[in-house]
Amino acid sequence: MKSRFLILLFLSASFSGLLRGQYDQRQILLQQAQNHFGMRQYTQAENLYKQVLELVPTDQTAILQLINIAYATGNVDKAQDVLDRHGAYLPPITLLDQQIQILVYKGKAEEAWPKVLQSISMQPNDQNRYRTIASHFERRGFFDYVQRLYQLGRKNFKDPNLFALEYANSALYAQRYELALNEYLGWLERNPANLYFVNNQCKTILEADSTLINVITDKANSSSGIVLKELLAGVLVQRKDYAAALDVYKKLSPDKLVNFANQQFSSRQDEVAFLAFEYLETIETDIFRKNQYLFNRATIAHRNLDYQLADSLVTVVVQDSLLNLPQNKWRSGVGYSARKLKSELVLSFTHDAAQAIEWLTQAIEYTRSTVQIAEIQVETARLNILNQDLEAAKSILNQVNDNNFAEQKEHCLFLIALFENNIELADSLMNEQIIHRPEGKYTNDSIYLMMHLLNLSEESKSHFLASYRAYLLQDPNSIDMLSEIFSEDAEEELMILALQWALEFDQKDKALAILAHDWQDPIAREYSALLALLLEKSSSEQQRQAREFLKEYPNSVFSPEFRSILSSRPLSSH
Amino acid sequence: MTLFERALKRYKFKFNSALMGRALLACLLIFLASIHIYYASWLGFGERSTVLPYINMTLRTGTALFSIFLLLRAYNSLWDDRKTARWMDITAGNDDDIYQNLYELREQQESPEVIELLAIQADRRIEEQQLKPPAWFNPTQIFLILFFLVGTLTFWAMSWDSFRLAIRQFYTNRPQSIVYKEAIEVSPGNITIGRGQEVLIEVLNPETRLEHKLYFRYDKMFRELALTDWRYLFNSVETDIEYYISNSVASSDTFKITCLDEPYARQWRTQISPPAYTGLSTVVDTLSQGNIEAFLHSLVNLNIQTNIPIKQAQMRFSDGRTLPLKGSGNSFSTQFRVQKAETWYLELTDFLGRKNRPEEKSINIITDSPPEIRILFPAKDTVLDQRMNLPLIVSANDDFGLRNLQLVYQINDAAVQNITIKSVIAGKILNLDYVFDLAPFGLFPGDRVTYWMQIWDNSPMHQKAESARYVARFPSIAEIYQKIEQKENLKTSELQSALEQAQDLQQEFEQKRREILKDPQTDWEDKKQLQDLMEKQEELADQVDNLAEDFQDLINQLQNHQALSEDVLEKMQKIQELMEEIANDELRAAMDKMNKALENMNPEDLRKAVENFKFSLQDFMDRIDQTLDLLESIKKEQSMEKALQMASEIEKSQQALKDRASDPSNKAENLATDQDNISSAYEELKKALEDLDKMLDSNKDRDIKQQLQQLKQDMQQSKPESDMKSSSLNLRANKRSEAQANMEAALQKMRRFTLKMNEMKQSMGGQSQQEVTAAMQRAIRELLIFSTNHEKLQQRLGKDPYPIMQELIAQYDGLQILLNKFFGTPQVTMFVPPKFYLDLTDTNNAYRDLFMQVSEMQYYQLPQHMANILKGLNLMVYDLMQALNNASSGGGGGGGMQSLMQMLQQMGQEQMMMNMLTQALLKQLQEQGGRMDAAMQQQVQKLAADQQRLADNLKRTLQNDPEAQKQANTIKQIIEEAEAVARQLRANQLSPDTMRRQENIISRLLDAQRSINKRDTTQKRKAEAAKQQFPTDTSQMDLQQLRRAAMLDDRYKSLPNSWQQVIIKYLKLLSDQAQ
Repeated sequence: MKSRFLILLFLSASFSGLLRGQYDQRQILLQQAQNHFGMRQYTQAENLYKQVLELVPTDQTAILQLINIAYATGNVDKAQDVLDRHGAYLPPITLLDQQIQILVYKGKAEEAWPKVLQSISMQPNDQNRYRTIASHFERRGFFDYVQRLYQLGRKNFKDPNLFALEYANSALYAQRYELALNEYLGWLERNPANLYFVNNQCKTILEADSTLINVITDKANSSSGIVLKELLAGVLVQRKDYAAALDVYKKLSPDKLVNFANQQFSSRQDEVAFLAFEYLETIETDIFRKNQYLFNRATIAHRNLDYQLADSLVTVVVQDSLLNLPQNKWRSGVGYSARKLKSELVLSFTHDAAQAIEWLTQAIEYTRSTVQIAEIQVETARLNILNQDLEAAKSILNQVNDNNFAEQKEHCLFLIALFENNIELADSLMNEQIIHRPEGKYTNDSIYLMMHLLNLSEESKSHFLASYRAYLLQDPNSIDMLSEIFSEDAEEELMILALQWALEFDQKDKALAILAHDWQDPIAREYSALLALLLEKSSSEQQRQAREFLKEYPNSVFSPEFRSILSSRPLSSH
Repeated sequence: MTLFERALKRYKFKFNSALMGRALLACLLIFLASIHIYYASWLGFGERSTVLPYINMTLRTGTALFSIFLLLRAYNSLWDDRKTARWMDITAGNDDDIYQNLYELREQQESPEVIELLAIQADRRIEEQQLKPPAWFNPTQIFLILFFLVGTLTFWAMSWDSFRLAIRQFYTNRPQSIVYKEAIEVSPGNITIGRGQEVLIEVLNPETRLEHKLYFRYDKMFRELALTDWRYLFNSVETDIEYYISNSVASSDTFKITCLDEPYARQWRTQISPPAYTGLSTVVDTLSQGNIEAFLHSLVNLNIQTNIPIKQAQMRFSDGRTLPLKGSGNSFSTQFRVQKAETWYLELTDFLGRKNRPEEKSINIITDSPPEIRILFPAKDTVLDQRMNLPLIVSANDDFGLRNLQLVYQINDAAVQNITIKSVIAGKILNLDYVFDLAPFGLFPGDRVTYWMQIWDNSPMHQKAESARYVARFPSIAEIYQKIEQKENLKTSELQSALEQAQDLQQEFEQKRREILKDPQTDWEDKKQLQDLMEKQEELADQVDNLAEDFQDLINQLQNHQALSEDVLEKMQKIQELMEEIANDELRAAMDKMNKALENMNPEDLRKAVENFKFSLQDFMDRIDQTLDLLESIKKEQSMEKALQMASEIEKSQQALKDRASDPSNKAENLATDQDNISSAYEELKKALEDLDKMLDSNKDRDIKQQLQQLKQDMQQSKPESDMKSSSLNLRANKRSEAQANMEAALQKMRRFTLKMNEMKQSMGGQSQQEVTAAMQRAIRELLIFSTNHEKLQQRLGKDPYPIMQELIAQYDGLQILLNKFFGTPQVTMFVPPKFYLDLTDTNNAYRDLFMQVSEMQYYQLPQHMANILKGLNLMVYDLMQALNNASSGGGGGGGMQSLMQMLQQMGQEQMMMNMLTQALLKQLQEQGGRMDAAMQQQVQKLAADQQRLADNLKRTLQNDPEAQKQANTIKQIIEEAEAVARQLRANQLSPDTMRRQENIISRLLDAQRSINKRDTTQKRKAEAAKQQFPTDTSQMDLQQLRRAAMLDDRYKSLPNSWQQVIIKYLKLLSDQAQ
């Protein structure tokens, strides 16, 4: 009895040792195989995994890796073979997953479907399972099965809204736009924070099928929530149906419309913003708000280079007797802003900095904070620079201590140095600007200016500065002045600058004349082609030009811009 | 008177005498008996017994009374005449009682006749009868009395002394007052003996009546010993003993038996003064116990301290000599000069005459070793470079001193020559850097110089040492190039292999990344796989780092061989720097993030880390790729250099040969051989030019190619090889003048060729420089356009980002194309400052974050990302502008590590000052209950401005200083912190958080300094192999220095006292924290 027990003990010990040894060997083999796999040496990796399976036929890692190798080498049959041989050792759900994947990979989606059902039934509460399996189908383009699967999920979880985003995306890939749209709309209703995303998706959908706007309209009208209405308005704005977009908001509370208008204003959807403010003016009774809307419209007109309109609008604000009453001067900022705008407009019309300064002087009366005073000071200093009264500018700038205007102040000092022809100081100030405020709005301008100046001959430098001053005074003659310098220095970069100014001043003829130049410099040539598109309002013509360009310069740094135009995005001049 | 009467009187007297005699005798006997009883009691009870007086009294009284009684009785019994007459009658048998009658008649006064008659009769009878009175005692009584008397007296006599005392006491009835000897005489008194000897202690003339005891001690307590016969013997005395003898009456003096050890030297002091030539100072040795190790002729002062006073000490040498030591008591010394190695022992004789046990000591001679000399560098056979300088590091040493260092050399088989490098050498060790300038020897390629060093020591024996012999060979430039090219190719292929591995890794990683994106829930397997990938990447990064180091060695070699011109070397150095930057901090940081994300297994973190790592990995590969391109791009220039160097070498060799040919002492045969060698070199030059021709691109290098063709044509037409051949032949035919003419012709041609090649090289270098400049200019312009366009897009960004997304994506793609083109230009990366990469990374990151957030529908940070993109674009422009400026001004910007360190130190002090002020302000704020008055606000604003200025200065440094750009991450963090603090302060926000940030700034400034210091040290180590410098970690010191500096700042001194107090407390707190 005792000896029997001892033998048994010995055998158990030997057996466990054997197992241990086997385990170690397995680890080593797996490691080696993994290394080969990592190095894409699939044959070696495969052999090693097979050896592992000889040792431990149940090793799941080896089985799955063999299947992966089969996929990696595009040999699905091999994957099938592995699964046939060793699949029994995999957990049933993993086995099913693999079988589904193989079948889908082979294009046998129909055959895979029962297994999908089986797989789902095994873990009915796992929503991610649906997503995982859907991803197999999605990769091979079986979107119908993806949708079917998600539908099944909805049914199983008794939630008709489940997987809405995935479902919508899948429908969009499958070009089932209406379905996708409905899903997106439903999802948006439940997740109103995703308005912009859905708006963008809708844009894609409507680009494919514009009639589907009715679906949005219907949904928006039938929905009690506001988000779909906002979406509808957004979609209409995209489609440039501004009146309709506005109508949507007109039906909502005025504060929604104000929000909409402000939003469009800030995102430079100027046309609709203009209309919205115009409408708001009509319904607004508060004199201050009314004038603010008016001013906003003037701003829109100004930034769209419609100076006359801007002036007429802002003049109304400026001349509003109620606003100018002493007790009302500071109740809103519009009096101040309007005079500032007026100053800019005067500069645009007269190119006379002194007149512009007068308006700024008036604006001081309407300032409501030290910040605004500083703002006026900086702007006055700038205009004094343009008025060539550099000392006055310096003196004013010395008074500006508000950090919010440090950038403007530095830029003004830079300009002073430029106009004093103190290039060294200007260069140093430019360095300072870059170091202090690399993201500043004047930084690249300063670099540009310095680059131009440093490349020019001494004689041309003063001409260039004169033209730049004219440009800052919003004088279109600056373009001609620049062109003259080009004729002396033959720097095509100057012509590009002239072209940019021409576009900025909306001097189409001058722009076209510049574009007619036979560009020698490749960058100038390519960039001018891009700028040329801005003159072309017709989308089809823009696309044609883009195609031409891409044919000639497929590797240009601007080629992505042209390609994006080809994908029907009209180039914005802003 | 009648007879009778007389007889009667006589007899009566007799009888009465007997009676009285007996009574007296009885009294006497009683008295004696009393005495005896007393004596017996005296003996029995002791003389001091209190009983004795009573006994005495009793005996005396008894004796007296009894004696009186006896005497009275005797008196009462005295016979009268009648009784005597009666006795006479009876005794005489007189029945007539004549006597009695007579007496009575007489008494009765009877008739006198009768009386007469009777008297006559009585007389007659008396005459006739002799009466005998009875004896006093009968014999028995006499015997008894005598027995008693004899016995008693004998007893008394036998104890006469006692009896005497007893009888005196009886008499006086008082104990005897005893007078003993009051002094005890002791032998031997104080004595000194040797340890273990016996000592007899004896009482001289003892008071025998008293018992004597011996008391002794060797510690504090006296112990008691009984004396036998008034003496005691200590058999073996081991320690000092104090003793005295005492009886009940007296004590002797205390005496001391001083026990002496065996004599030995308790302390040794050997002062050895080495001979003067050793230059060694006197050595004092107290440990060697008389064993002396000294240089020959050293003067030895031997001083010993003995354990016991010694009478005599002397050194006994093995050869029988003795050398007495002078001194007394315990201290002895002597002086002698070491002449030979020998043994000796010290003989000590103490005052007891004892001698110490002899213990052998040795005198050993320290040998004067011969000097040693080694050539530490190169310590192997070397190849000389073109500078013809052979740097040697020599190390020599001797135990005493060195002199006459000589370099011995032998050029080929010529006679051995030597150069005395140093004749007087201070010290025993010599480490010398010596550059053996071989230029004056006019070596030819292939020459061998065998060299070694020799040196002597300064001993009178003039011992000499020689180093190992090494050979320096002067190779040809072609040979040098061959080796270097091999190495370069190896490095290139290793880099190539690293790239391939990285590509595989990337694919693998990409697969994993997709899996994670698909299913963010990672399991153990995923983690393991990702960890494996990380490990592989780590290995690759290390591999590339090693390559960069190897490449630096290669450059050093090239530099030493003067094989390449400065500009090409500079380019290679830049490539090396780029290699160092391949595995940059960004990659390491991305790997760290990834590892952390893997540890935490947070799916979101992991996803971000994976994304982040993806880009870093791509960047890693791009950098390797760029480096490979650069290596390829400079190959042409290297080949051009090679050809030029070969041509110069041939020219120089030909010139040297011509000069040597004019010296008739030079053998013609040797000269001819050298000429043949030059011809071979020329053939190699032609081959090198062919190789160069193959490398040149027909389009890109058209001009150079054309120049090369012209050169080749010239070479073909002018045929210098035939001149060389003729020269060789003429030399062999010993037609020296003809040979010299040939040589001159060949030399002129070679000069022409070298000149042309130099021109080619110049135009080649210029061409690549132009390309780089053009690429940079182009990139600047394009980036500026992107910046402008981006600014416009930024203005259009509203709440909804989608309207500008397409343009933003197009812009991003455009930027990538721009960068690809830019970096596609050969060698451009060598001129791009490190800051450009940082800004590029930041820009790309900003784009990436923006796109990611749009996809995640989180729009609130988009304006910031847009601003960051603009910032990045502008900074990239600026970086390139600076690079252009630097390239045109011919050097990098910035002031190097030293100035950066100084600047950072200065900033650290400023920041410390600001911290102190903030602390004081904070304290004041607390005291004011959180309210900030106008003065305080002003102070805070000033502080804000100071803090901003520090940030700006750092920005400027980061922008302009390439060294600072190497610490970009730290400096950027400091800038961010400083700006955050400035922002807080500008908004009048003063809180512990402000303090914390400021402390972070200090800490980072110190980190940056340490890092620079470390880098500096590492570079110096690389550059100066022989001069190692060791960095010192002085973090604590740094902080302390900063504090001190800040305290000395004038601004500190101008602060109110209360503030200064706060500041001091703050500094103390900082110090405590640091500890």
